[in-house]
Amino acid sequence: MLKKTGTQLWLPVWTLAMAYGATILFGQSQSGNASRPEAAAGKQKSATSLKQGEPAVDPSQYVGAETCKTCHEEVAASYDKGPHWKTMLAKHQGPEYQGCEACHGPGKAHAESADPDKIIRFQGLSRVESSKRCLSCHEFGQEHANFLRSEHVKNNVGCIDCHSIHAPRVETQLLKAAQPQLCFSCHQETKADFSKPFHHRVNEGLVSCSNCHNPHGGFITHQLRSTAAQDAVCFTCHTDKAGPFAFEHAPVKTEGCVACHSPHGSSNPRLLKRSQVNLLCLECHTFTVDSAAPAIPSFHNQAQKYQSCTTCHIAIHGSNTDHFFFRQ
Amino acid sequence: MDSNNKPGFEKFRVPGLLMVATGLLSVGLWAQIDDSTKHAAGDNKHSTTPVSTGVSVDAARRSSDLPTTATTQDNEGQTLGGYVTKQSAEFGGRISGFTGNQGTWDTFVNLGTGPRLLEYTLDMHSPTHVGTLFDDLSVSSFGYGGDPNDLSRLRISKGSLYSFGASFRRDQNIFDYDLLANPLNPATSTPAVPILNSPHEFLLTRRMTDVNLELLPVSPVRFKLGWSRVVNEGDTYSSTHQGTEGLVFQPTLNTSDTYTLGVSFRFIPRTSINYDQFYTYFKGDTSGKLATQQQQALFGIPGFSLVGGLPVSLGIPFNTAAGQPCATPVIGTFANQACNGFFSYSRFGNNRNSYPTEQLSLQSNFFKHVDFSARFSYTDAEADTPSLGELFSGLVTRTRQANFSTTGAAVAKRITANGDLGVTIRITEKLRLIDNFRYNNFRIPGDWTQTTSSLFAANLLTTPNPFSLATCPPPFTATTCPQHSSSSGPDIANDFENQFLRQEEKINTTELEYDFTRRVSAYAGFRYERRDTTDNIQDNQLQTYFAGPTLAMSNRGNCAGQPVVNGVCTVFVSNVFPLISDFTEINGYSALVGFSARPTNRLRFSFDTEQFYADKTFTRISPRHLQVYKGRVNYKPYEWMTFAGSVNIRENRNDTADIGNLQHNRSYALNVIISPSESNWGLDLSYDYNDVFSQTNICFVATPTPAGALSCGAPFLSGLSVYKELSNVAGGSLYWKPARRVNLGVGYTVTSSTGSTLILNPNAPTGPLSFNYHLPLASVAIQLSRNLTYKTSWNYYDYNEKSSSGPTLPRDFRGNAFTLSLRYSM
Repeated sequence: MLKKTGTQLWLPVWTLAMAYGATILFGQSQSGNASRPEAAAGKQKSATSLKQGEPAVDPSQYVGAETCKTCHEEVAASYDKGPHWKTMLAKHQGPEYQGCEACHGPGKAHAESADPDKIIRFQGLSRVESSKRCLSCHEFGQEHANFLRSEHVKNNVGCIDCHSIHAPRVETQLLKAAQPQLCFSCHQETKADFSKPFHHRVNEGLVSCSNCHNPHGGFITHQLRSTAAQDAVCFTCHTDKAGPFAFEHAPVKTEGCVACHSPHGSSNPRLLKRSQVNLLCLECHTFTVDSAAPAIPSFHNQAQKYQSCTTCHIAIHGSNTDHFFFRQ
Repeated sequence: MDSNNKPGFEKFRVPGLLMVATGLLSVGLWAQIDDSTKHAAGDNKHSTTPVSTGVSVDAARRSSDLPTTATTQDNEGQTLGGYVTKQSAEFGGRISGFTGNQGTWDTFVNLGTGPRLLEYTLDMHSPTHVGTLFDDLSVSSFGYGGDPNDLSRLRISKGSLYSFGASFRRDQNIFDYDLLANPLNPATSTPAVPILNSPHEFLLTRRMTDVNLELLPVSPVRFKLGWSRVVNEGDTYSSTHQGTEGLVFQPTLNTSDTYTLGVSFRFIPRTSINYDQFYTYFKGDTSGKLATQQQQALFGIPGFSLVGGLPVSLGIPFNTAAGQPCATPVIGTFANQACNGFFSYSRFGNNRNSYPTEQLSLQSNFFKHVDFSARFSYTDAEADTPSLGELFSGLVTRTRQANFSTTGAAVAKRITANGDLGVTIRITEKLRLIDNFRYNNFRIPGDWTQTTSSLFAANLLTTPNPFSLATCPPPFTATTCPQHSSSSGPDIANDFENQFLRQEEKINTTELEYDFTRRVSAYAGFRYERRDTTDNIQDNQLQTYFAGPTLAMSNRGNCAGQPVVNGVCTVFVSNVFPLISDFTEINGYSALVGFSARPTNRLRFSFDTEQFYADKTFTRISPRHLQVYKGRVNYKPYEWMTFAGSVNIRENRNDTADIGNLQHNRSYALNVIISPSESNWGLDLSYDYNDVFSQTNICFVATPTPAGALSCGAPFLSGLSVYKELSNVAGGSLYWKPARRVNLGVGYTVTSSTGSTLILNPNAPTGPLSFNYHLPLASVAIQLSRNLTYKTSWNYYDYNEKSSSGPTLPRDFRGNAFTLSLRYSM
């Protein structure tokens, strides 16, 4: 079995190695960052352009944000108000990371000719290309590190679909609309979940979609966040359910909270997946040969009080004092 | 206030009475339409992602979502001390009332009457970025004064020096949906005791504080400091199983503090290396004791007393035909002394959990065709319950246990090693290979040692006798001896229990993405996952049995046939409960395919599917076969009109013959937003149809036998656990600005659910599976002056279940909430 596991582990490594080889073979003539024409235009190596294999940046092609402001007065106001002006403070980086040209590329040709085709405009870029413009700075934080591998990019949703750099509705994150409306504009079925009687308080403004999900991608399915200890994100607020417990209800940790709960909203109390709690229990704890979960004892007559499993098994998420979960 | 003299204002001065009458009109979710259209000329112009203007309605929302003629961000602001300062404050109050079930109203709505600070916002911005202490400051808050949700946020930043954010959230959670944990006592019981509230109701307040400081946010070396606290405090009710189930009152206090310290290095071009330390400390200080008779009366449980007047609790379940709490709980006017009952119960024992975590992460696209992200973390958590104490006094008739005390200690650890790696290799400009690999390994060893000392008595009025040779000499038949029965458990039990839960998970996803054009792309991939789960539980006991009222009683239970010395028998019992030793290996395989396109700037659609197969599952309801289909379309024929639709289908099954699990969750949603920029109105319509289905073979015991049930090995019966739910959620909102200073809005959301499920208890109603929940609303906002806006709104809540209420209170309610406020903006 160990040998088998080892083989499976090597499989992705081997695949990646093969793919990288193919890259070397077929990719030499391709720009690694096609959306950065400043790189293609560069002839003279800049001290700040150290990306391996990428053409050098020519600092002389950059005119600086103050030059842009002379014509783009209205946009300049939003630039000064938003967070991007801070790029000018990153003196350790080159001009391709500063001011308007950090996003729109070198502006000299455009400034001299006023030709809109001589500056990068986001409308003409694919979502991957435009997102890569943003990620050339933003990729290096843990929040955005996986955006190009995210579900959003796979579905042609890029940074500018949610963010508006020059006319944001929510200035702190430069969002086009506040959550949850922004998310509901595509995830309509989720909007309905939050209209059910039992729901997390997203519509009320207490919890945001991005408290549980990272819209910029991540390593966990559904782009879920996790606790620092790599436990379910639910335990961020429901701290008493996190454990560890001397007696774990194993599926809580192995299958996750969603094995029993519908996290967005539900018709059933406690966001449960079943209206009759005993059925939720019985579907696993039944007299059968195919499950390790212990079956209910024969005296648990479901026509009587025993239909209410959690009346006795109160610590169903885990207990430190009773392996039947009778006590917390 | 000079704007009062502006032309046009006079004609909109509405008499107070008419204002109140108009105030009964509407709420809005739509005021933002007016504002958002102002931005349409910006870079939103070609967006094909429409922004929904409305969400499901609740008056307990942020006030800024209600109609207003100006938000803080739209204020002109004033320059104060070099800062452009904008500020809004909204004071007002709510008037609410309801008829029907208070528990459900409190659970769903919980809006009271009283004054409120509905919203306060402050923005300060240094336009030249030369502020002394900060360049930007933003404060916002809402809900103070009695609303169930309060929130405050603070953000401050100063150029390249620091960025600071803090938030405080407080939410009050009341839960009392009376069917949950309800024993559903039959009306035929004598006495008939319907339980009117959920025995597990609670009133909890959660306070969440988050503070984050980033130092040198644009430098090559950046530092992060953070602290967050979650406090959950209040009163809860629970129950305890001791012969009968007693109602337990639990003062609850849980506190969790998390400290974060991190540093990010960005010396290597296009690369960041981050090191973080996290430390979480959890304090669980919840205790429990038997609810008083006054507290029990709130649940509909009558007070009982024994002959002689000694109060006794007979618990929650009353089904005398089934012998719960006994066949004849009441004799005359007194509680039956031979019944299960409680005199007292208490449980205490704080637990302390600590979770130190170290994390190293790396992001880079240093190499020409490759970018990757990696994260490695290690946690060594420990949970410590040093001194549990549990005391019981009453009677468990089956065992004659009349008194016990349990003391003990528990320790559990959780060791987690985690590694994640995501790599994108750009093979060509249009072709990318993406690989995500996740490794997660946790193991949770737990140990519990406890000592339980019990005393036994024949009935509730008999004083339980401790065992000693002085009071119970051979032949151990004196009336002062313990009054065991042959079913009595050990007098002293020393438990040594341990559990070991471990899971190692490896998931690798490989995908090829291809851009056919800048507007059309597709991907195909494969995911392999492997899970190894180990679950072991073992319980060994050292049991001591005393004699009384006969010598033979010392040979009861596990001491049968064991030597007895002076009326005492001791035996070591391995696996007093069946040993659980389970190892599960699961291999799962998924095919992933999807495409997306933007044929024009106004149309986007996408489709994804996952086809999953696993060779085994850990639980019976986990899928062995899973198909997921997701489709979305957004179409914006005009800048002011948006159509959006989504289909989300999940089908899964575990077709092992003995399980027969079949599930689906199918959702179909539509949304239309019409907001003509030149017009004075906007419309938002949405609809969702959700079809949830599940069936699983189960074995159970039920008397009488439900129709169609077959034997599953006596006394078990087999049946099909079926759950069907069809939900329709429809919502609409209309925003209208009849005059420059007046905003009106009306809206309506209805959630209608019907369904059926297997019901094994004849007293159980369909309950939450079949209901209508109506949420109409109306609002008006009138700008009284340039800075002052009067706002009022009305929300109506109507929840009604479409089935019988069962042996408890109907859960329906109807209520109104009026909100009146004045908003001052500068």
